[in-house]
Amino acid sequence: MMEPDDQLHDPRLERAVALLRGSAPDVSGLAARTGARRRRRARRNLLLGGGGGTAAALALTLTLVGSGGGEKVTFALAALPGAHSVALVGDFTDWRTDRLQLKAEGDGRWRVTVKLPPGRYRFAYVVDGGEWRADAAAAPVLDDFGRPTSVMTVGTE
Amino acid sequence: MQHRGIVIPFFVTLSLLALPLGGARAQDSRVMSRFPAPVATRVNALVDSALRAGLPTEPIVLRALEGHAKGIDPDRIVAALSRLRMALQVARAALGPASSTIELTTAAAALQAGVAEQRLVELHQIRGTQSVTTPLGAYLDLVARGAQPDRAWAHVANLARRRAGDAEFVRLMPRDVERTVAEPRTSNATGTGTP
Repeated sequence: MMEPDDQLHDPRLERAVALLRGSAPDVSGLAARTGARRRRRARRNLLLGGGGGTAAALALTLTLVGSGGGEKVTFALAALPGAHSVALVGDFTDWRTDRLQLKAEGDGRWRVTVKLPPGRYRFAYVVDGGEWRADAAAAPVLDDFGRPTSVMTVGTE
Repeated sequence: MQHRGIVIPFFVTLSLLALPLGGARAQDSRVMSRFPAPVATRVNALVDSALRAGLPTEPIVLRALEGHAKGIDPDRIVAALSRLRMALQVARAALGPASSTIELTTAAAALQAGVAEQRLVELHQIRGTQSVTTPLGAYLDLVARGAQPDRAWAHVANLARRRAGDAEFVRLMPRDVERTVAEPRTSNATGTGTP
């Protein structure tokens, strides 16, 4: 599996995001963040919602707002007993299920971190290639297609 | 051989005549690669229509890709794209020709969620040169999470009037709206409606 940072620099992902924004992403600016910026970001790293541990999967997406060129967003899903793969799909992957895979971590949760420029993104999770799940911590979105879908905003300032 | 000098200019002329008719014909490679040709043609026709109207095409392409990923019937996808294209057009009329793709996408989502065009105009006026994306997105999220629409709008508009930062909008939750309604004087007087 690719490391998250490798995924963050997927040129196709950046292209999709740039197209959505209508301009090229300021990737170099993001990469050049100072330590102070990282510390500020760390302070904002508060998970929304509780861990649960219930049978129902609970999404724990973390929405961050930065100043300027967008932010890193950690998408997380609570433990899914028996699940073998969880893909993150959305506007930032051209809705392909093979671009961003969540990684199962020691605490049983699935996570992936993606660097996103400012914008508003529709997304969902696909478990084991077929089961669509919304993110319980993000707002649900009106969906023309009748599948669970979430939406999130990355601040524009 | 005698016709050679005539035939080539004929085709060149024909091609040049076809250009204004065809314009900047949209042929998105992602659409072409994922949909069967007849469906791709219908999708690209809508994309092309948006392009000719000066609307952003990427939201339409992404919605098509979303429908494909979800295994939706092509007719439903095309119908959804058609509605989205119309919403984008109304959104641009409300926000003006200088509005960004992100703003138009969010505004189109708002219209499709039942927000009146006049409210988009109002928010655009309040924000001035600032983007309406974050406050409008916050409003949509509040309503999707169960906040009463008019109260949510009043709360977001108040925040916009006092030039709240994006962070304040993004972390809004329905309880913040209810709190403001319960203590309207406090939030307006102090200018700190959201904790």
